[in-house]
Amino acid sequence: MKNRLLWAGLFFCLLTPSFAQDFTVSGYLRDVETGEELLYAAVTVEGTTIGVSTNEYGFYSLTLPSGKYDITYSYVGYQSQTFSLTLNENLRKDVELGAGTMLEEVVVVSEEADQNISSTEMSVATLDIKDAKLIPVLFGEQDILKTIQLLPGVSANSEGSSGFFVRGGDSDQNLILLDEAPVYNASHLLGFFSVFNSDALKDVKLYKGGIPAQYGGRLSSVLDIRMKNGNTKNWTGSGGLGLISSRLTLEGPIQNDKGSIILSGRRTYADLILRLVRPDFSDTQLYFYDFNAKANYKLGESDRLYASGYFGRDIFNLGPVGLNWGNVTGTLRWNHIFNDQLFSNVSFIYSDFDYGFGIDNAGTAIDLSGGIENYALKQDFNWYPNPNNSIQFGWDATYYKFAPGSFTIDSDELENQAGIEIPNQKAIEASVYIDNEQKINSRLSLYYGLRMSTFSNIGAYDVKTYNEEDEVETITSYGSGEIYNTYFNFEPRFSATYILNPKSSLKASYNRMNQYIHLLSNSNAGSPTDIWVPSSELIKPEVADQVAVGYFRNFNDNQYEFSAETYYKRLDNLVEYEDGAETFLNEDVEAEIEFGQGRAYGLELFLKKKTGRLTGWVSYTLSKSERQFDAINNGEWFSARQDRTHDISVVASYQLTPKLTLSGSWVYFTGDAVTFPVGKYEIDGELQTLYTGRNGDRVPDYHRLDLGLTWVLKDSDKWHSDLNFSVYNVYDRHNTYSIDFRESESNAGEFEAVQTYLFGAVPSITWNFNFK
Amino acid sequence: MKRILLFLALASFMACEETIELDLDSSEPRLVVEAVLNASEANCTVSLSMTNDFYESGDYNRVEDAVITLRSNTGKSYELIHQGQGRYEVSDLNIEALETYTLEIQSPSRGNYQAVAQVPSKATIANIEVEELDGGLFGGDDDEDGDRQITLEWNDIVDEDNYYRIRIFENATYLSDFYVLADDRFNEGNMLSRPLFGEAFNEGDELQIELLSTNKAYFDYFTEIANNADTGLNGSAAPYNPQGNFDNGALGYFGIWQIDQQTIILE
Repeated sequence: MKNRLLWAGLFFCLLTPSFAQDFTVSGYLRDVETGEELLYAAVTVEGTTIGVSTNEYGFYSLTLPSGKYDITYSYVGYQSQTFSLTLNENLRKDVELGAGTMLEEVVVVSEEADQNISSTEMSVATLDIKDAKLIPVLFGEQDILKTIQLLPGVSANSEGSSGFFVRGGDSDQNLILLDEAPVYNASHLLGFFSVFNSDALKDVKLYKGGIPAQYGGRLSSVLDIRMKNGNTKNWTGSGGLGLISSRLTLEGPIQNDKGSIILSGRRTYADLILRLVRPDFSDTQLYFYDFNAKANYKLGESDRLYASGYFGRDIFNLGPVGLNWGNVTGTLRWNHIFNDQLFSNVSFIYSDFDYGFGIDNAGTAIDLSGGIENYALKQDFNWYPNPNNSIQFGWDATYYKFAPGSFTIDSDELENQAGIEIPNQKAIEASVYIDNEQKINSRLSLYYGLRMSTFSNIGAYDVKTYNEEDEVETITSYGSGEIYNTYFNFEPRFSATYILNPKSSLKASYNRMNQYIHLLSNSNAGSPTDIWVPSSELIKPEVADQVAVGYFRNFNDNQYEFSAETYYKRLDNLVEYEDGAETFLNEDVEAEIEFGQGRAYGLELFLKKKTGRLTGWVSYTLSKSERQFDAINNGEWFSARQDRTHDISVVASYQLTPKLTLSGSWVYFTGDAVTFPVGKYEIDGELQTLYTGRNGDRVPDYHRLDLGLTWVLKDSDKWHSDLNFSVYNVYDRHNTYSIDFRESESNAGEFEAVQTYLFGAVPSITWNFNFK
Repeated sequence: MKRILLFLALASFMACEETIELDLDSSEPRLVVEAVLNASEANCTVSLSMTNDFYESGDYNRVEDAVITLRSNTGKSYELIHQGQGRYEVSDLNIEALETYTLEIQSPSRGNYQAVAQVPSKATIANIEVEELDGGLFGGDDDEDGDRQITLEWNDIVDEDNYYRIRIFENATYLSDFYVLADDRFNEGNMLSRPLFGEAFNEGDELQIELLSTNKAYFDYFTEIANNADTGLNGSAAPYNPQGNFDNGALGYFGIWQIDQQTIILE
């Protein structure tokens, strides 16, 4: 029924008759200096409320009755441009915008509401990479994942961590895409740094709710990160030298504007410093590196090819112990313009995460490895039939290979190598979707879409069932390539915007999401050995339903942006290990999983100052996130660990002089919900802790101030360099990282609580440069 | 693994520790049972006590009014005798291979509990290898790091699932926080070996090394105890009370073990 209505609605909007002859103006919007396409930029018709946004590739298409129009192209941080066009034929109009300098006020020409007010998107945050570079961070390592944690509804996994929670969801419920390729483990060095090197990135967009139908596969959020295409005009470079890492990026045109290429690398050298401090760590290796590369080539006016890749790895070698892990992603894309109104992109995507752990000691070698790998093919179409409808549709298919882990041991004493290999699992996830952004009248706009997704497990595999004692009851074997279990789900998406006046609007949204792959983790910090497992007959797909409503308001000639949103999210078929589960190389790990549900709700307030010498934002989140598992806490609801009642972030940067910019951020949130002991007893001569319930206690509240100062050393046409000084945790707050309970050394038989904190005040300095 | 990750985290950053005072709830006392049937020595000891509040000092309340009975599936029955301080014993048992025993505890004040365990087969120590350490990550030349690396080797019992725990008395002191647990999951029927990491052993030490062949419930219980002791990064997973084989909410375990031991002096 729901479907039929949707289809009927879709046809209705397409058949809306138009009497005059229509023509289309279409093209790309680009940065004048670098030739980079500008994504999600606004193209509007002056004197009307008609407009469209550029898509993920900077393309726009606007179909209007024949006539004369003033068309304005605008993008945040850029000088808007208006062109008078006479539309009596289909026009191709590529436009280049120049960046407005920081101190100049961007002149707002148009009279109609700004994009954040009028668009049907809500619960969405777009990060400006340039702004993010001013925010002071740990060790001076710029990190977009740290920046998004400062937004309402998003919070850090733990101290210094690049992992994050969105609206009370779990950290594996975030779909992190780098040029459309999913990144399965976005952290370096135990989470202190993300795998994303800001120098190589163009655009970052986070969907916390109202998630469009083109995305699927995770419950709580989508973080869509797009790499730069590379400068199409000149060869340029940029880079930096920091205390623990260095980076270098080179980009430039290939074959006379036919295309461009960008190469970007980063490597840390924490081990070199460690060796200086502690000479006894001379055989220690402890570093990570990232390498991003992307190239694109225009085949003609209508076709363009892109190839992009990411390679990153963490390497730890400490004496006989070695540990390494990393991601590889690759994306091949073909943009094709069928006609002025129809744009298409086909992508072939590869992504792999794997880890390896080894010990080679005293004649015994132990090796442990595991990971996840996927191949995907997808196609998206953007169709702009008329100014009131922007239709997107497409399909995708992803082939997964899960390698939960293999273990080998080779010893002088053993005649043969021994070990265990947990059987690999394979699966295909496929989906089709269609959606439409429809302007009903000058005040009301709707977005509606439907995604249909399927997930199938594929042999060869032995499917087991378990009894209550977690013992294998039956085994059913499936042959190679045999599909033995399929799920099929509908995911409706909807949002509506009602413009109250040019400065304010009300919005509402609903989305349903399904998640077919699950991260099983036995630690809260996230470790490279956490394993991804597919849905199966036993593990049902996770489901989330979220509704959100919001009020959006701009002040003072759009200098200030304000939003208030509330949401309610219901989560089903969540997975968690049961108490004391054997997680390490366990073939029957499915038997040790509990299934439950969750709910999260909250209020998010956000005030942002976009222009002027002082820029920044204040965000406040009031929220609750709870879970219910039959086997945990006597089946009663309990707080999720990330249930942070209050969460405040203040971010500001102030341009003191053209050469000096001061910046700071302050965060505060309610301490994590944890389980503290209520009693003690002794077993075999050792003190033990006694617990009741789950997550009924709180660690102390978290707060921290960071300050930074950026000093421009030289700024000419050919060369720019600056020095960035920063102090993390300025007032040396000892924020709890973990609390251990151990026997007191002075009073045998008695416990004491010992808190670990990771960082006191940490100063750092980074030198950045770029040249043309 | 977790220890290694923690080590990496701590080595790479200057993490600090400090003692803090927490405001903790108190709890209903629960029964704690430690019951061991030593099949090699044909005796059984059980100790019963109650839990204390977390910050409570002083002794635990002992349970002294219990009637404890040990019954085999072959029809044998023994009653344990209270020795004072909540400690109950019986000896000169007639234990046979692969018998199953049920331990019943009936306490008028604390309720009734029972647990079941099977007599395991006995494995014997094949070799104790002692290596001199020459510094580096896992050793040093001072007493605190230890200068000897010990590896214990034994032959797994063929064609059955076996569970082992290694215990050490160093100069007649029981190392109660030293947990080495092993099973034959990866290595059925082969020679098993375990390096005894985590304790400092030095030249001149007298070590009494015990290889316990245990029932599965004992192994599982101490695996959970060891994991809880190894809290690792950020408190690791949600903490919980290790659950042994007793019913009715009793903490603790009923273990049956076979013991093989050797005493060596490190040279």
